[in-house]
Amino acid sequence: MSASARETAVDAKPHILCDGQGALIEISSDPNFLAPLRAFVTTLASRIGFGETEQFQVALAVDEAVANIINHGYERRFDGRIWLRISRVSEPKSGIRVILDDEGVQVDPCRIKSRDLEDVRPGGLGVHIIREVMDECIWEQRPEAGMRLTLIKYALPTAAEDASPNAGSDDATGSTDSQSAPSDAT
Amino acid sequence: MDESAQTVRSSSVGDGMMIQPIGDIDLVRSPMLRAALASAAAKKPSRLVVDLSAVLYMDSSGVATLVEAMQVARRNGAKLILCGLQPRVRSIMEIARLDTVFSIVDTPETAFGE
Repeated sequence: MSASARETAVDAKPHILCDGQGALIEISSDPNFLAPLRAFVTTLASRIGFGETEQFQVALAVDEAVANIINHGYERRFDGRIWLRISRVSEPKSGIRVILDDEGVQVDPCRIKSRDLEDVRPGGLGVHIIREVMDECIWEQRPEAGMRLTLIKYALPTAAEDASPNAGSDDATGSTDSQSAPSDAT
Repeated sequence: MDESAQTVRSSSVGDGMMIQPIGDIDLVRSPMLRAALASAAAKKPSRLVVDLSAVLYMDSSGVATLVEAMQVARRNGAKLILCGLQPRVRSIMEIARLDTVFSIVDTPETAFGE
């Protein structure tokens, strides 16, 4: 990538839109956005009610997912766009959903696999880590271009919820859980 | 002072080398750690100790860097030892099933005393 193109990509400001449904973030495929993205995701996970360990796990999964998009989807170009839609889920349990969209290289989702960990070598751990820390991971090709990754993590029940005879009832804060397919970010 | 010097400290300890990265190790900063480890390995130390006590977060790029350094050390007949692992870094090593592959101790003193 030319120096001027990189400067343009690095200077590109992220777009963040927050409403009652959650947050929509648009960033360029620049690794410099990973650290602030982790911080933002950690804060959102905290607001949803995740403990510190779970907050870290969600941030780690998002970090690994975005890094994979940068490295493989956009082949280390800084001028790609990545959209993240972060929302609370309440069914079947309380949790967080992160949908990552890109316009990079499309791959067959069946080929996205964790590698054999017995084979100790650098690299190839991102998919494994994502699958280990998140409860649901769905890779799919977007119809127009690129890939979509949907990540869901359910919060651990608190002791009070475990003891309640109404355990599993809707979140009293009125959280939303879209039953329909999320609209495209673009 | 160049950026690599700000984020990764290197020092000689006897016939060994100690590397001390500071801050998060992710896709942006793992190349700096990789360069520092390569530079240290080129000095052919008998042991290479990586003090991770100042690293609160590491992703798979950081793990890959350490794996590569371990393999280089083995080829050179040297020992690579990790020390000072913070909980989240230890957690990712466990997730990657590498907590039993690396030699991990609590402190640099223990690492150089082995």
